[in-house]
Amino acid sequence: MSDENTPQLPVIGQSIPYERFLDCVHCGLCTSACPTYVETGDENDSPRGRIYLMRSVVDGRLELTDKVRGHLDLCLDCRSCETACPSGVQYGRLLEPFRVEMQAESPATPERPATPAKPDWFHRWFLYGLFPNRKWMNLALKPARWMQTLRLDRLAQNIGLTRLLPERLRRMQEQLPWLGAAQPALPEFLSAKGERRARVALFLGCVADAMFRPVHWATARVLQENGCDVVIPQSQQCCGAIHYHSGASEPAVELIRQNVSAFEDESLDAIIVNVAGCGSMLKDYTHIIDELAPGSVDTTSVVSRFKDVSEFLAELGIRSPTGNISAVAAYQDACHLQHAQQIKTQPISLLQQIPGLTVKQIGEPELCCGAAGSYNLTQPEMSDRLGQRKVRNLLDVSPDVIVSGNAGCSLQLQAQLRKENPDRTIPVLHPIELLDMSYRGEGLPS
Amino acid sequence: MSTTEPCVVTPEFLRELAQIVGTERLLDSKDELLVYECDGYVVEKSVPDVVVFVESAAEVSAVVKACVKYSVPFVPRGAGTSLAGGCLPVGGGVMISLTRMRQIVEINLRDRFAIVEPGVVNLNLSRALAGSGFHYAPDPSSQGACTIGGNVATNSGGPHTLKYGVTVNHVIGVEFVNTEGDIVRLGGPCGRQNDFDMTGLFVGSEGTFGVVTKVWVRITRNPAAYRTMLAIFDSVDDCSQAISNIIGAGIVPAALEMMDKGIVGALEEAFQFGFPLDAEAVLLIEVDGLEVAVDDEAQTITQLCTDTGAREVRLSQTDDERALLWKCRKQAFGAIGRLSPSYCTQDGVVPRTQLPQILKFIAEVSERHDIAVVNVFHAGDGNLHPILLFDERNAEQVQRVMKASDEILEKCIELGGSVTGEHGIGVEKISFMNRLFTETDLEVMEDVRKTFNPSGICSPGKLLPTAGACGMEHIERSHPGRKAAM
Amino acid sequence: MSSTAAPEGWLRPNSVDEVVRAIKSAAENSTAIQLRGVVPADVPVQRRVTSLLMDDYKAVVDYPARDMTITVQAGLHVCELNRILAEEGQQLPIDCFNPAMGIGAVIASDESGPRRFGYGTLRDYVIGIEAVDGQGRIFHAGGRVVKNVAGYDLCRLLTGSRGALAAITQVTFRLKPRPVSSRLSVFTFADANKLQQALERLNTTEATPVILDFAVSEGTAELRIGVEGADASCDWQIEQLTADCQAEEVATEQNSIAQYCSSFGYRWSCPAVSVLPSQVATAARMLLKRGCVSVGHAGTGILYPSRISEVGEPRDAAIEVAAELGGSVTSWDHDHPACSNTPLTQRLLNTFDPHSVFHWKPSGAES
Ligand SMILES: Cc1cc2nc3c(=O)[nH]c(=O)nc-3n(C[C@H](O)[C@H](O)[C@H](O)COP(=O)(O)OP(=O)(O)OC[C@H]3O[C@@H](n4cnc5c(N)ncnc54)[C@H](O)[C@@H]3O)c2cc1C
Ligand code: SF4
Ligand code: SF4
Repeated sequence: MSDENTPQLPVIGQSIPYERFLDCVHCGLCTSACPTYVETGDENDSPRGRIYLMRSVVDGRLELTDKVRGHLDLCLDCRSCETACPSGVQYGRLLEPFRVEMQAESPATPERPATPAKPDWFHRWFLYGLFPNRKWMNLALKPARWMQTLRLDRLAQNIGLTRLLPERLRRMQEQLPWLGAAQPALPEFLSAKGERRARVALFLGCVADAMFRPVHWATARVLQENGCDVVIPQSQQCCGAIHYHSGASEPAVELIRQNVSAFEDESLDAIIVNVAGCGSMLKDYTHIIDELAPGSVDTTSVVSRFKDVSEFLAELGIRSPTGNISAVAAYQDACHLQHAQQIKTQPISLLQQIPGLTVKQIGEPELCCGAAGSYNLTQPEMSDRLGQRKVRNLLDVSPDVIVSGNAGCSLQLQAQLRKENPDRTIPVLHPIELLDMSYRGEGLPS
Repeated sequence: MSTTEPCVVTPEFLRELAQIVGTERLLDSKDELLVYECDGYVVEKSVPDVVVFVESAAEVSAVVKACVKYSVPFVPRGAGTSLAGGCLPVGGGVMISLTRMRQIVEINLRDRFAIVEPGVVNLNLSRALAGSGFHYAPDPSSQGACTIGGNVATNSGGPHTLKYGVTVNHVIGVEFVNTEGDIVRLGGPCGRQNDFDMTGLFVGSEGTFGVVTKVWVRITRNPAAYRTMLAIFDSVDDCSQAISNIIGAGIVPAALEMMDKGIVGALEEAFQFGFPLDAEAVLLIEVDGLEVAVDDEAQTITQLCTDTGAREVRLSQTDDERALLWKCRKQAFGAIGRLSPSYCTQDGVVPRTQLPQILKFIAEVSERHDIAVVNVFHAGDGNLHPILLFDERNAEQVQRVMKASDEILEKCIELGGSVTGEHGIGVEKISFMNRLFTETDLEVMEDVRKTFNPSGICSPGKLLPTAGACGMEHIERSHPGRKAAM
Repeated sequence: MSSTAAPEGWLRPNSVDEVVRAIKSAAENSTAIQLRGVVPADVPVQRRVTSLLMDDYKAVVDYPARDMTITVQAGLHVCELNRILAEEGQQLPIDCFNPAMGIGAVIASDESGPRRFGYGTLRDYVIGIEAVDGQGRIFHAGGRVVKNVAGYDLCRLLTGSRGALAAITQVTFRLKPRPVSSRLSVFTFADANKLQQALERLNTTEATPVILDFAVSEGTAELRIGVEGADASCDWQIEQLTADCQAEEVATEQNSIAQYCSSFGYRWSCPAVSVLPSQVATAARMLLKRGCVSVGHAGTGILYPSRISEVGEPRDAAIEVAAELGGSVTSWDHDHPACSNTPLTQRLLNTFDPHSVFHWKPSGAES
């Protein structure tokens, strides 16, 4: 392909150790685990194909054309392929740095004039500005909360008013869950109930803290119930995933630095994370620092203590919950739990201890629901296809409640369930919320 | 295609294809075609001119008719896990991707068959059957990804085919689009057929007869019970003797798989199963059947192994343990990455009693060429998968690997065996065909190919050395990359 | 060496070369070759036909018993083959109606019987083949190992080809161990309805029968079920099957399977109806209405009707029932309309037998 007329190819992906490409033996065993491939059937949308595309760009066999970008952009970074790959290919460690470089370079190609390496308005305002900041996020959600309380949102949707919003804003509006009444922020310290078994910190995150504060409260209560002192360092920040994934390395490194110092406290047995997406980012801090700013932050001691709440509780062994919840729960594996953190059995084993609750696994559990961070905003079509596919699999087991350990998934599932049938009212809860209800002797919200 | 010129794909032809499948389901730009230049076999490469994603037999038929009209060759492709280059578009042309034809059309438990489209992933059929008490028996190690259409084309086997047979034993009917573009049906679910067993002939034809658009498969009752054992040996000789004794004793285990020291070490590192690292070889043995019978069989096998010098025979105690053992076995090739940057696998077969000889020979070859070889294979069938370890960046070593592979396969033939037990001839092993068969044999086979595919427009350059292909010389031969298998 | 003297129109070759010569000379003289023993034998004769009797070509070429494969010449009689295999505790689990027939003819006829339910048919056992086509070309396919995907699977093409494509001269089989013990139970039911209910339950029985046969006549219906294995597992299975069947009467015999299979005695002039296994009881009832009783293989959906009264005409009944149920009729009659002939069949005939040497042709095929 590379004859003399080929223009100088942009240098992309050179920072990626070449061995990582060689790890892929081109066997194709990962393909059927990849949600985008399962939908399109196009090898270019498969893990093997994407690795081939990236490698070919690195080798100078292929230009980074819009089509190539398109296939790489369509990747959810769900890392289902890593779970499927017998060769231990670290797909995330190929794609993520490649994307970072793609964002940074935005190089000129024949079909595409040179563009400055600047994020567009949407990324600037929403992804970088608003999202990662807990305070702003809360403020921003205030009007939405009022609208919802007054049912104005439905009205606006019904009369088509929301269609006047730019596409991505509208999708954000669609994704908004029922926010409920604002709950107070968590205090700096909550003490263990009964015998003290551990001292842990709670990671809050940005979007999650604003939209999912009830889950934080539930998490804290369950931890207390199981003999944990819960510390909530107020200097903690957003995990930095949004920045990192959209190629904004500097702010990402800065957030990592701040979080590492916020959770430095050696007396903490674990740092509990209840959002799978944040958890996998936090656990990846060491790799990311190695990649973006080697040696700049010492992450080791903090990283080894990041634990998903289900992982931590399953290891600790929980006090048997007693409140009866007679319901069928469909468990949805979040990619960031099952693939990125390889946590699959723990949440289920916790849920199974709730009296009366039947936990059902669903079909195609390995496939992403299409939420994938900001994916549902940037790739709406594929996100909807996967969302509806997931909804079908969930509804197949006729659940009374859907359980998911990741905030992003919950938003997506709720939105997709509404889309499937606006009158459907199946609650989507975090496993910890169900556990909390059982401890408190409450039933499912009706 | 008797021409030696590469085929010409014209804009009119592309327009015609686009009218059939729509532009969304057609790839024709270089940057999107590149990933289709090879399958699981990466030594040889050739980029197709266009890829179409068909969704029905009618579309396949229309695409083939267009190909005939414009004299452009075509090749079907499933999941692209072929290890023999079956999907290589020799000389370019149209690649017909079946990945969007993935409906399970019907499952009939009472009559024990299912009808599936060719793009259905093997494991998805068994998943769909989960809980019904039935399963689809052929279980290639690639079953999580490979398609039933691909299985039919290559007559795939797997660990459990020792007792249950290979794909052809489970395919009772096929619908395909022939090289004129007509939809033809062979066989079906009813017991006896009046015609020649063309279904049997079709299975294993490696895509050279046309494009499979629907498959009738038999589904099998699950065994009521199974026992899974791990026998540990201090010598490879003893181990291969034990295999021979088990078969000789008239026991047909459901599976009988051997792994040698090299692979066991890598597996232990990957999965921490608890394999003894100092053992020279281990046998993974599974018996299944009636609850009343399996214990006796397991006991007989244990005795046979112990008598042949097994150090220990472990019976797996829980379902989880069994699952992990099988995971180790099925993912064995993945663990090779821990031993070497590159590897290549062969698929030779010998009569089961010749296993000790061939394993000795492989060890000799390994030493003579200074190439490390590890073994993990379907011992019960005599189907070897010696894995040769090397570094693809070392050209001289690559040469030695090629030489060593060739000698091993040559020896398989000498011992009365074959060069491929399940991966197929494809483009990879074409050069062995005239060592396995006489000129007349190949002439007859060529005649059979012409019966189905007179112009050679479908899958040129595959399976038979005589199958004239347009632009054979346009295959790019690169050095072997790492290759997973089995 | 030359062939043993044979009645006129017969040839007893004792080498492949002689087969080749016979075929070539038939091609030159526009006469036909018929493989002796291949059913159907009664093809109308319009030209001179030489019958190839392979009885003198029956050596065991190679029997590596521990590999559980055997290579034999095509004239070896089935009964002799089974005797040789029995010495090693092995078997070729194929039922054929005349065990004094050469194995090549049995393959060409694709014979099968009661045990096809548990063991499959010849296509599952032939792993290597040598044959001579209508141009006198000696060709091979497959090999001598149990697993092999090199080249086209001509073994399967020739199995059941009724000698229309080539004369089979040598075959390699994969073998099965002989079971230690067996039981054959006859379960009696009041009628076909009760039989049908039992069959539904049997679909998911834990037992693993090798035979699942039935017989339906007026006022009574039977299931004949065979199991194999160690005594303990045979007994357990019969117990299980008895529970599943809920029959009015059960009679069990030990080690009589072989006898049952060889005495099954199909009437080859009779057509066989092939339907889905779930339709067997229905088909049997329909046949009964048309004046035919039937026996056959409930597990694989094959019925053999025969006449009980003046009104019953098995052939017509079979055709009607098959048509109504979407099944097919296998007939050994040459000119039977149910014999299919597709363009591919014709093309294969042209490929293997361009001079139309082989006597038997699927109906409608051009010679
Ligand atoms: C890790 C690994 C393990 C493996 N283990 C096994 C094993 O245990 N046993 C085994 O037998 N094989 C094994 N294989 C080989 C491979 O998986 C099988 O050959 C499989 O059947 C190929 O299926 P596919 O869908 O990927 O077909 P492809 O690779 O896409 O195609 C294979 C061949 O089939 C043809 N084809 C595909 N679809 C059709 C169709 N619809 N109509 C006509 N022709 C078609 C193609 O043209 C090609 O010639 C393994 C491969 C890998 C990578
Ligand atoms: S990523 Fe892994 S599973 Fe996928 S093709 Fe590469 S080696 Fe195979
Ligand atoms: S990360 Fe997910 S979407 Fe991306 S290639 Fe892997 S499996 Fe496919």
